[in-house]
Amino acid sequence: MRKALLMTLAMVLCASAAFAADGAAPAAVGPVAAWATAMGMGIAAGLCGIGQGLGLKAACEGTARNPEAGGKITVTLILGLAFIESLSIYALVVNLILLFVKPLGA
Amino acid sequence: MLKTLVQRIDALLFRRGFALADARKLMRNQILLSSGCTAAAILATGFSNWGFSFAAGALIIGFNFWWLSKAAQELVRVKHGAMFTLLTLFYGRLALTAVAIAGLVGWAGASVYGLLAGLSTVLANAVLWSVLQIWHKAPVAGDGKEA
Repeated sequence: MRKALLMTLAMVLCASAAFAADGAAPAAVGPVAAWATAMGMGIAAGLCGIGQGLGLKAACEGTARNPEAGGKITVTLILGLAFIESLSIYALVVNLILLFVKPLGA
Repeated sequence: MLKTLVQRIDALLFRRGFALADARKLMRNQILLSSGCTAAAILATGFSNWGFSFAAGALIIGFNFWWLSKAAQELVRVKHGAMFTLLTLFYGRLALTAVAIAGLVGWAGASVYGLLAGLSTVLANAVLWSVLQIWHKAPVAGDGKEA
């Protein structure tokens, strides 16, 4: 299953580069950058979502076990969520740079 | 003067639903840090694109942090029926952030480094908060004669 998924991914990525290579050389960067942007944002959002979910799960469990510590747990949760969300926002900015600023060419 | 400002911000945050004292302090520090850094960045760079990009980044991340703090406080003690509103607000905030950053980078021609520096104010605030917490909790080194 995993092997098939990786092979499909590799074929899709190679195909876009191969199709792009038919045109002028600098134009090849465009579609690859678009793929990279989409995949980068997807991976970042997915992993940050898992991280935030785990953090929230632990905070809810901790508060349920010890309601008196709820305040401290909530502040720690806010800090953790802010750290994780900053990562996804950084990923968004980097992906937007790839998409709009085009540091790799047109 | 700073004390009065801090008290006013605290009162405003309390009215806006920041019931936890530590969460209120965290948000207040974020407001003060981002305001101070924004003013310094704009003045130091002579009202340049970098300074305004920094201001935009700090504003976006401040808005984000405000809603994140409120959502986290509500999430830990979810009231019946409030889940849908909370989720809508959470994803609406993320969508607004994405649209704002896309607009700034893609169309407004904002300085990316300035924007990233502005977005990092929340990380600076969180790191500062953690360091201060560790600092306050650190045991005082004894001379070994206590035992």
